[in-house]
Amino acid sequence: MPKEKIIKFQENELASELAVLQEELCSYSNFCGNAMDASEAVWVFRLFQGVSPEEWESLTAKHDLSQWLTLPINGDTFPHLKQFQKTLERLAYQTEHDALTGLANRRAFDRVLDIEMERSRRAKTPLSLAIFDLDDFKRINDTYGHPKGDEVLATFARQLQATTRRYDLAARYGGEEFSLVMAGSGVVKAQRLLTRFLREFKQVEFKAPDNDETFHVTCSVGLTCYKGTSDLSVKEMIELADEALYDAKNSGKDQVKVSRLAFVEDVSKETLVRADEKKFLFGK
Amino acid sequence: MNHNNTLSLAIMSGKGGVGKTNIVLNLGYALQQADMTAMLMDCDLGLANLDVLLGISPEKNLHDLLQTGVDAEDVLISIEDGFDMLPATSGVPELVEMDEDMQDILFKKLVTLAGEYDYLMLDLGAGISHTVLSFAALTQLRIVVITPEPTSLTDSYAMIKVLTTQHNVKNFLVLVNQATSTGEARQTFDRLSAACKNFLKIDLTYLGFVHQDRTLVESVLQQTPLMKYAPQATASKDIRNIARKIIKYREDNKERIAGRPILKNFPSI
Repeated sequence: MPKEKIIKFQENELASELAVLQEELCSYSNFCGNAMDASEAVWVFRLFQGVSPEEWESLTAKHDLSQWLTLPINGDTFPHLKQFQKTLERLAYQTEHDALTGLANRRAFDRVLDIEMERSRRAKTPLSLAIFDLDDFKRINDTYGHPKGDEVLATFARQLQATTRRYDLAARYGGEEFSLVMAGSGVVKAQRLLTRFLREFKQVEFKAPDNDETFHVTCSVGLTCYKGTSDLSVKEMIELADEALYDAKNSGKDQVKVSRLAFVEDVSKETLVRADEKKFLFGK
Repeated sequence: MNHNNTLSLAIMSGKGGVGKTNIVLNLGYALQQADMTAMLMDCDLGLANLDVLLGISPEKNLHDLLQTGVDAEDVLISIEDGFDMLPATSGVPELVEMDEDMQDILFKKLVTLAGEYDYLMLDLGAGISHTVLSFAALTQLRIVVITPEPTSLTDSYAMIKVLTTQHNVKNFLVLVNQATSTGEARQTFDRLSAACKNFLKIDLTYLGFVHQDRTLVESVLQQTPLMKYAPQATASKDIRNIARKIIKYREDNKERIAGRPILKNFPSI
């Protein structure tokens, strides 16, 4: 039997077998979730004869099998371990990055915002959060097609990353929503950065796929700021930025709006000298 | 704990311009003339005044004391025998808000020295900055200097309210400065005292008053302390009266003073 045929047979067998296994395992709780308990984790081995590391690599790409790792039965383990490590690194990267834009994903964003809020609470340093939403993005997809939409998203991400400072975290928050965590920045500083970014981004020229037409994209931003003075939760902080974003959308888009600010409202009132105390002092 | 004989006092005022620094300086003189020893610390950290009233221009100040290798003795200036002072800086905004670490360096260097005096007097800046409030909470006694002006009343009330509610400081001595009569001084104190009793549930202690006195203005212009410039002036007599009360307090409370550190949070002092 020619070699090609053997592989072909094995490939189908392998793919269907893995699909069945995957489906079966997913019905167990925790398997598809985030929980990672070593006592409830196993390696699954299956012997495949006649598959070289190179062939496996092409199978991995074709059938999206990057989570499956290989080890040789005999011979040099080094290339496999190297591949093993590369795969692990890629998987680790994928868990915290968005595939299209390369920005941090929602999971990384949640983790970082939580840490930064804690830092802000302890050190009483300012922390700003911006949530971006591309204006009329659905129309871009409908008019120019999804690949063009993806290009807009990737360009936006690149530009956002370039505008921000090294210790800011830019993340893709959802479809056409992005977020930016700015540690150490108060409202004024953050607003300055965002206004500049908005101005620069809307100057970017996109080309229509089918003709010479060009178009520009704008975005709306909701901004909020925390100074560690109150017990604001991560969820509440995101809600504040979302409210401001909603406000920006309703006020004609293509602008930054600032939310109500907890640190202004939370100034201690217990030491305030009230009007009745003043009246008393003046004997009136 | 070592037996401590030093009584620490913070002299403060909510409002600026009520003559606080003059009171501190002349009170120090009065104590010295009564054979007491006193160390005076200018704690108006960004805008020093004590040295100016004395007509001196110190080479070194509290800012230098923060540097490694500089000791309190290097910065201390002798005003009279047994009456020394530590000058502050002028024009260094970074020092106005002195953080915990800077305070620690400063007070650690004053440890042994301060214990050699009968009195340690901190002349605090006006206002309710973080430094003023934290220094005020350190000392065993606090003298609030007020004048009959309504602005002085509200400012000192605000300051007392912040210290009471946020720093749990509840004992204050009140000195009425620039009063035209005994009655006016008493009335001023009574008003502040009644407000504190009514709203903050604390009792203020009346330390006395100092008459409004033209001679004091002259002494400032001459950059000579009033007690030296005009020892028999009305204001000088008033200040001597107040000094006597403070001396009596220290005598009457020797045991209590001995049982406490000179400055709270700095038990080693």
